[in-house]
Amino acid sequence: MPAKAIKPAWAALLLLHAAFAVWLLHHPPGLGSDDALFFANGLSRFSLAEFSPHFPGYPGFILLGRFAALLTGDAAAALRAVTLISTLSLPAAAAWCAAGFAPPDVRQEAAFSGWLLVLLLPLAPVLALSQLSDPAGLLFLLLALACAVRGRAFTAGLLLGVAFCCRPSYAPVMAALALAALVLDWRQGLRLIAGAALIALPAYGVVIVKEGPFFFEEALRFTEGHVTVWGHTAFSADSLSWRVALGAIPGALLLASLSTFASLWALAGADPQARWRRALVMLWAVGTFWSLLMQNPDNLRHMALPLLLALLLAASLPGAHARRSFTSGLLTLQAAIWLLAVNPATFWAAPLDAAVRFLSSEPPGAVATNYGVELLRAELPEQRIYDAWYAAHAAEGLRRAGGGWRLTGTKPLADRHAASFPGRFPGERSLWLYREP
Amino acid sequence: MKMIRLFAAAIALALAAATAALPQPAAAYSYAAAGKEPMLDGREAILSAVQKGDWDSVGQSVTGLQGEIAYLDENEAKGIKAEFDKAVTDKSADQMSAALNRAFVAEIERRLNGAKDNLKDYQTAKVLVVKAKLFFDAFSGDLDPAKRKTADAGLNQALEAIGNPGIFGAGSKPANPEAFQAAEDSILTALRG
Repeated sequence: MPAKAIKPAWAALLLLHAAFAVWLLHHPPGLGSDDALFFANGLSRFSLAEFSPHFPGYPGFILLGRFAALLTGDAAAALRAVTLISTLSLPAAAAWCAAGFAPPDVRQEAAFSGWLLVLLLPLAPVLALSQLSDPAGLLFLLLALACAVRGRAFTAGLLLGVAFCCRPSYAPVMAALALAALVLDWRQGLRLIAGAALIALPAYGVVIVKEGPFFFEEALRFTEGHVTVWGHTAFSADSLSWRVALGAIPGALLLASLSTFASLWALAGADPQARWRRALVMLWAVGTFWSLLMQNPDNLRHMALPLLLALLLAASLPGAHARRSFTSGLLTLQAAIWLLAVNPATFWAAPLDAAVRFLSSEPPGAVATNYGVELLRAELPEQRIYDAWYAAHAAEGLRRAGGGWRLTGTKPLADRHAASFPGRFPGERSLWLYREP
Repeated sequence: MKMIRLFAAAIALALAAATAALPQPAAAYSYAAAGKEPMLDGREAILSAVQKGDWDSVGQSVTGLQGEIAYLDENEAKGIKAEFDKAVTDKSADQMSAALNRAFVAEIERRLNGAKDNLKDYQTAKVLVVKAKLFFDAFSGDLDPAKRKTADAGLNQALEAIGNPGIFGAGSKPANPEAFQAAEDSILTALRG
């Protein structure tokens, strides 16, 4: 980038960032999912046995939420603040990271591209308004990477420990980072592991002491349940396909393919940072396979980590031609996904919150739902809520109530349709409500 | 360099093939669905067969729950075995629903009694109250909303009443047997009323 163009370009970028923040803040608050409800409960009473929050307790995220709650005074608002601030900090962290992974002569440009690519991440709005642990986990992981690539191994370890306490399901990528650090320089690697252990061991130690043997029973039950029952992983009886999930969003499969090529392109290069980029390619590969095999395609945000790593790699490629080609290709695709999938002028509530609002104005009756059973039970005390996972019990409940509502993620036939609650952004599932006689 | 790029292209193709090969049917969501209790699975099998009018299968599913039903018949729900048998003989969906709900209340009472007997062992008592809550949640849709609210509040009181050992003793709170008994009474009165 010519030096003269740098200042106006950064000013325009920061303006775009500010506009994005204002746009996010305009969306109505709400928990939006059972997991967010569990986190909100966990801010006031921490007990895994009571799903407050769910396994494994996310002690880092809960602590961040508790600090935020001191300012907001309200659990839901605290979660909203933590996820919004974390997501809005991701582009800056990515810029710092990309500058570290790029050859020294292109750091400015890498930082700019990294910032812009991550700001335009199509999953950013769903992350920012999720009230879940992904954005905080991603932020601390990026900060850990930025420190690791600069040789600040112990600080990187401490940040990695915090990331693990916020988002433990990124563990394979975190382990890959520790392994890469050991292979590149075993002394630095040991420092990184020591830093991570210094944070993670006491944090999870407190959770384990508090929960007792139940922690390990729940670890087995929850892991088995995630892998084989509700997680829709590749090993589950009713696994879902990432190809289908991504294919539902125009441009997403192209973005996945191009980001894959950009990542693999980063294996080349002979500058001093090349070995760290190759390590990052390994992290990306681990993250990609982990997400494909072990994460739920029903929630596209599970792809945020490998996609972020791929964007970092594209921004920090050594050859100017390759870097600019990949960066502009990825930016174009991301912008196209935004234009096709997001209406910037609408500010709806999250689908589940909108469904709760709709049902709260209906007379008491029976509701069978595949989504948000606990949130519906908490928010709609006058309705009889049936968990549609237990299909026969839910059908019996509706029959005995003389009919009732069904809330589902599958679009019903037109003649039964009563209300729809559309997903607002790429990766947010739409819900439909219909009456069953 | 050429080799690296060829390798890169091969991996990208393999990734695309791997995602394309994964299957793709419908979604559902419930954290209660793992580490199952026989009564939860059994109710689903029974009600599914009842809805199909397949009373042979209903009978088989009830037989599958024999151990559980016999225990409840001897302890918390005297006569419940006869209720299940009569529902099968009469082929009555309503009788079967009533027997199942009575069994669920008995399962809740069984866990609460267990917790009461283990108030000196916080971790055991906690897990038992939480199990009671699992059964309560699994049939709470069948309850009148006012009674459900009372029972739900009672379960929270029971969790408070088992105390808390704190972290290495810090913030500990002893169990309160009287408060636990009051909570259990209020839960069972609401569920049986």
